[in-house]
Amino acid sequence: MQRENRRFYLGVFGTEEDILGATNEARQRGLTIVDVYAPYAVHGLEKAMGLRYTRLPLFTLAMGILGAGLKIWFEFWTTAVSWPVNVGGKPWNSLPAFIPVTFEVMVLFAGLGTVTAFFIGQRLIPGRKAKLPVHGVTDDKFALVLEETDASFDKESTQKMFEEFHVLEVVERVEQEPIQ
Amino acid sequence: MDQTPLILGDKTPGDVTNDISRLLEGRPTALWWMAFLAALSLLGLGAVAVTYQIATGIGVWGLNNTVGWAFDITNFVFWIGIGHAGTLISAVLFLFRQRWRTSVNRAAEAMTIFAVMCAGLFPLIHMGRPWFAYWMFPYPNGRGPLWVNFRSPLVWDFFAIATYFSISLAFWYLGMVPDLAAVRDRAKGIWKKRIMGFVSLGWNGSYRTWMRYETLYLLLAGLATPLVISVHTIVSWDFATSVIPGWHTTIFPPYFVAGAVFSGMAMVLTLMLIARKTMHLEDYITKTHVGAMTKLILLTGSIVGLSYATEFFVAAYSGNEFEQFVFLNRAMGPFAWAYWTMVACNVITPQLFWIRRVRENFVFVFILTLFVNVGMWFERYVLIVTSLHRDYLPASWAGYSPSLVELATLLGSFGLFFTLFLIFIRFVPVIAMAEVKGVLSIGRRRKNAA
Amino acid sequence: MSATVTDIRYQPTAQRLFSAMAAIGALSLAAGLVLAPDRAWANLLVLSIGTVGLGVGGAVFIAVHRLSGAGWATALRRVPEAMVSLLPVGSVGLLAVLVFRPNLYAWVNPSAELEHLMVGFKGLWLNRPFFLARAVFYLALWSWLGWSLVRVSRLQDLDPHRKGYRESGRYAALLAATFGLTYCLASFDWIMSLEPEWYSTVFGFYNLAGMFVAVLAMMTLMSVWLRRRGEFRGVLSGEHLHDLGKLLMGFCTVWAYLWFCQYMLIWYSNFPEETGYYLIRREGAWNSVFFLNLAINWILPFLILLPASVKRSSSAMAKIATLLLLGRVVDLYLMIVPSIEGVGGPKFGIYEVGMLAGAIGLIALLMIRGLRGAAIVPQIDLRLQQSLHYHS
Repeated sequence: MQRENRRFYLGVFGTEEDILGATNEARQRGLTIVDVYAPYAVHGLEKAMGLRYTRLPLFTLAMGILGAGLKIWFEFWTTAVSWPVNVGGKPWNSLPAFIPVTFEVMVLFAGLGTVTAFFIGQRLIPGRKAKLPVHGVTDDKFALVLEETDASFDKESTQKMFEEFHVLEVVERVEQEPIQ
Repeated sequence: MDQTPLILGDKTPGDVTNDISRLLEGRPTALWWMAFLAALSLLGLGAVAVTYQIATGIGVWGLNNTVGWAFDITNFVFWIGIGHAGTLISAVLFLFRQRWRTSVNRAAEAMTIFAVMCAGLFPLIHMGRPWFAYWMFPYPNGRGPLWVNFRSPLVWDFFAIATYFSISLAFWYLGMVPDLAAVRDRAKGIWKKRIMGFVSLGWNGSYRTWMRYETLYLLLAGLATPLVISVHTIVSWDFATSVIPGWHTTIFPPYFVAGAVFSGMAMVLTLMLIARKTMHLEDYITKTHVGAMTKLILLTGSIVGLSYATEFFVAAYSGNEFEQFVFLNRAMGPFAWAYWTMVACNVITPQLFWIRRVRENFVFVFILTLFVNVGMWFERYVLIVTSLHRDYLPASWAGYSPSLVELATLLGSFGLFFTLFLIFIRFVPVIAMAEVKGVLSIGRRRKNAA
Repeated sequence: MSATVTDIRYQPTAQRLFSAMAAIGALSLAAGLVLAPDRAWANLLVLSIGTVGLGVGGAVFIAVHRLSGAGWATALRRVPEAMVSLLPVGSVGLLAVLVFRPNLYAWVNPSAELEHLMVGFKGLWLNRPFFLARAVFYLALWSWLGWSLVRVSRLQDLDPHRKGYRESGRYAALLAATFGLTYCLASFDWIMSLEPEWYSTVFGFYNLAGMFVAVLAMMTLMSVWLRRRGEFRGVLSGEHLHDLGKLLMGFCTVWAYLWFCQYMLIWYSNFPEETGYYLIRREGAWNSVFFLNLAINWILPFLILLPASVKRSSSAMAKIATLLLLGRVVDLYLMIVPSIEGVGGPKFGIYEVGMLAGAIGLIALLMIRGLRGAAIVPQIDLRLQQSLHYHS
C-alpha cells in the first residue's frame, strides 16, 4: 500500500539558547513538533517540546519488587524447605541473613530491566543504522523538525521565526516516515 | 553571580568533540606504547604466576593453617575498594548535582569495571579449582539438589560482585552511547565507522530519546548508590560476621565503605593527573575538579581515621581481652611496621589537604594520592593478617609472609588493570563529551547574541 | 543593603498553646521526679539528648553546607541557626540528669556482677568526675562553635564589607573536624554506657544518623511553616522542598542501613555480651516498640516519599517531618529506656506524654525566639542569589 508522503520542515541551530527559543516559539504557535535533535541533554527542552513524562520509573519499581520477591521466596525455599541444612545453628528462616542477596537481586532486576526496556522502547539496537536529520547533531548542532501538517503551514513566517533564533540552515524534506 | 568555569578555554560543543575525539584518532604516541608494553609484561608475569598456582595448587602461597586468608583477599578487597570511587562519581555525585563530575566520570567508571575484574580474579584463584566456580550459582544440581548456603557472606559476596559488575557495565555503556555516536559521525575509516555504528545502537540525538535517557540515568544513579554501599558492606561482612577479634565489629560496614571511596578517589586522581598531563586535558581537568576530589579524599580519610580511633577506643572500653590484644598487637606486634604505614598514609598525610596550597599543587596531590593507595592496601593487609596470625590458642600462633607467586599475582593484577585502562583511552572517548557539553556554560558570561 | 530584622511571632492562640504545653511539661517533670523518679529522669535524658542533637545538628548542617560550597540552602539558613539556640536548654537538661541522677548509669555504683567490668581502661574512662568533665567539654565546644557560626552569619547581615565568609569557614572546619569524634564519644558516654557491659562500635554513627534525620526534619517543618506564614514565600521553592525530601529519604535510609548493620552483625555472631542489648528489646512489649521504631523511621517515610509529587507537596512534607521527629524520640527512647527499666516493656503514661508535650512546647517557643532578631533570609551572602534562583 502506498503511504502518503509527509512534508517536514527543518531548522538547524547552533546554540542551546536558540534551540530552546525556537522550540518554545514553535510550540506556542501551535506548530507540530516532530522531534528535536541535540548533541546533549539540554535542560528545559522537554518542557519546551511539551513531552509527557515517561513511565520508566514505574517499570523500575515493578522490576525491583519482582526481583526482591522472587529472591526472598527462593532463599526461604532453598534454605528452609527444599534441603534444610543446619549451618552454625542458624534458624531455617534466617531473615536478616537473607536480606543482602535479596537487595542485590532487586537492584539487578530493576537496573538491567530498565536499561533493556529503554533500549527496546527507543529502538536502540546494536548495528541499527542511525538516521540523522542533518549531519552534526551528535556534535554541535541542534535540529528542530516540524511537520507541515496542512496547507495552513506558513513557511514564510516560520522561516522568519527561525531566523530570529539565528537559524544556520533550513531544509525541507518529503518523506514517508519521520526520521525516528 | 560569578562562578569559576568548570571547563576552561571558552570551548564550544564542537571544540569538545574535536578535543576528545582527536585523542582516538591518529597513531598512539611512543609514551603510550611504552606504558602499554610495561603493563602487558606485568600482565604476562601475572598470567604465568596464575597458571602455575592453579596447576600446582595454592600451597605455593605463603598461607598456613592459622593465616588462611592473607594476600589474595587483601588484593580482592583493595581492588573492589578502588572500583567504588567510579560509582561514587558517576552515581552519588550525580544525585548531589556536582557538575564537576562530568570531566572525570567516564574514566572513573572505566576504572570501576577494570578494578572489579581484577578483584574478581582473586577469589576465583583462591577457590583452587576455578573451573568449578559455577557452583557458586544456585542452580538445580544432582547433589540433592544441595543449594548454596544463603546465610553465608561469601555467597552474598558472589551476588554483590556479580550485580555490581553488571550494573556498572550497563551504566558505563549507557553513558557512552551518545559519545560513540559522535565518534561514529566523524569517523573517516570504514571499519571505525562500522564498529562505532554497531555499538552506538543507531543513536541520533532525538530529544524524545534524550528525555528518557535522562530519566534512566537518574534511575540507575538511584540504584547504583545503595548498590555501591551494599557491595563494600557485604565485603566487610565477610569479616564482621565471624567471631575473630578485630574482625567482628559493627562499625565495619560504614568504615569499609568510606575506606573504599577514599582509596578509589585517590586512584582516580592518580590516573586523572597522569591523563591530564600526557593527554593535554588541562582545560577539562582543572583546579576545580582536583580540589573537589581532594576534599572528598579528606572527608573519607577522616571518616576512616575516626573509625580506626573508634575501634581502638571500643576495644579498650569493651574490657574484652582478646579485642584489646588484637589492637595492641597491631600497633606493637610483628606487623607494627605495616600498621604504622597504614596510619601514616591514611590518617596523617591526607590531613594536609586542609591546606589550600597543597590542594592546588598537583605534584603534591599526586604524591599524596599514591600514599593513600599504598596506605589502603596496607589497611586490608593489616586487618586480615594481624587478626588471624594470633589465634585464641597460642599454640597455633603463626607468622605470614607472601611468597613470590603471590607478589607476582598482585603485580599481574596491576598489569591487567593498566592494560585495560590503556586500551580504554585509545578506543573510547575518555571524557564524557555529551555531559561536558552540557556544563560548558557554567561560570561563563554568555555573549549576547547580536 | 540594610538588614530588615523580622519580628516574627506566633498567633496568640499558638503562643498560648505552646506556653501551656511547656508548663504541662514542667509539671509532669516535677510530679514525676517525686512520684516516679526513674521514669522522669529517663525521659528527661531522652528529650535532652534529642534537643542537644537538634541544636548541635543545626550547627553541623550550617558547617557542612558552608564547607561543601553548596548554595542551595543558603536562603533557609536562618532555620538551622535558630536550632542552635536549643543547645543551652538541652545542655541544662542533660547535665541535670548526669549530675543529679547518677544512678541511672549502672556503672556509678556497680553491682557485684558488674564489679569485675570496672577495671582497666573501662574503670578509668567511666569514672564520674571525668565523665562529667567530658560532658561539659563536649557541650561547651559545640555551643561555642555553633554560636560562633550564628554570630558570624548575623554580623554579615549588618556589614556587607565584613569578610564573614572566610571566618565562617574557619569555624565550620573546626566543627567538622571535631564533631564526628566528640559526638560518637558522647553517644558512648550518655547512651551506650547505660548498659556498661554492652558495646558496639557503630553506635556513635547510628546515633549521629538519627540525629541528622531529625535535623533535616526540623528544617523541613520550620521552612514549610514559614512559607505558609509568608516569610518564606518566594524563598522556599518547590525545588528546595524536593531536595529536602530527597535528603530526608536518603538520610533515613542511611539510618536504616546502620540500624541493620548493627542488628544483623550482633544477631549473626551471637556473642553473649553483645546480644543482651537486643534481647531486652525483642521481648514483651518492647518488641512492638522495636518494630515501631523501624516502621516510623524508615519504612513509612521511605515509601511515602518515593513519588516526586510528595516531595514537592508542603503539607505532605510537613507530615513526614513530624513523623520523623517523633521517630527520633522513639529511637532515643528505645536506646535509653530499656537499659534503665529492663525487661518487660515501656511504662508509657502521663509522665511520658506530659514531658514530650513540654519538650515540643519549649522547642517551639525557643525556635521562634531564635528566628527573631535577624532578617529571615540572610542578606548579602554570596551564595544567596544562587539559592533563590536555583532550579534543578
